[in-house]
Amino acid sequence: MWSKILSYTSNYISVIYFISDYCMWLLLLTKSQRRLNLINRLFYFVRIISKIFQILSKDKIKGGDRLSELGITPRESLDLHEIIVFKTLCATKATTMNLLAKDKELKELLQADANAAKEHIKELRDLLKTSPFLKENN
Amino acid sequence: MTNIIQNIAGMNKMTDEIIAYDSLIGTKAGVKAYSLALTEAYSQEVRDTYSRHLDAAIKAHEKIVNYMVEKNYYFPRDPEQQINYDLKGVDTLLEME
Repeated sequence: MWSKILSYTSNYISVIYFISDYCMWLLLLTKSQRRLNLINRLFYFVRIISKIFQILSKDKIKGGDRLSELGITPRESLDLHEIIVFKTLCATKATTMNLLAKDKELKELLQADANAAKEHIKELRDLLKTSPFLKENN
Repeated sequence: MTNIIQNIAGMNKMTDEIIAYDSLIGTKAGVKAYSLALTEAYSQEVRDTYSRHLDAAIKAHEKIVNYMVEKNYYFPRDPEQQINYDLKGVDTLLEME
């Protein structure tokens, strides 16, 4: 029984120590607030500067204007063409099957599929228009 | 209304199951085509587009597979049942005129 009481008290004491430690820490923090602020500002400043440099050097890293200057590669235009044909077929099928399907859930799935496919096809078409195989690009 | 259209077009065998299977095969082929094309891409924009579309295709595949499992058209955990089920489909086809 005594040991139990002892353990309780020791726990209590440790909690008190912990709280007092925490108070000290807060005090120190308020004391060094100015320094902290300074460090904080420096950190954000450096981060913003590095972001600006990232944006400036993005073109070099990513190859930037390559697409608008030279267009896509020949091989890419073949693949893009294949995917566009396939996607168009899929979208047409999805819109047609939407009329034939009876289940509501399936209808919704097909509708979402067709809508997404249309958006994707638009993007792919815009890319394919920069193909070197097209006469207006040469 | 849909029944009438189907009977006129001779598509009364076009059940929801067939439509779902067709959609599944479509999404599968889409994922394969996109990943193959992605390995041949060079331009950054083309690469980004492929990667975004591939993500969408994978999500669509997940949705359709979940739907088919929910409706008991597709049994990924039971090969025996799957084979028997597909053989039934084959029989239905062979009995068709």
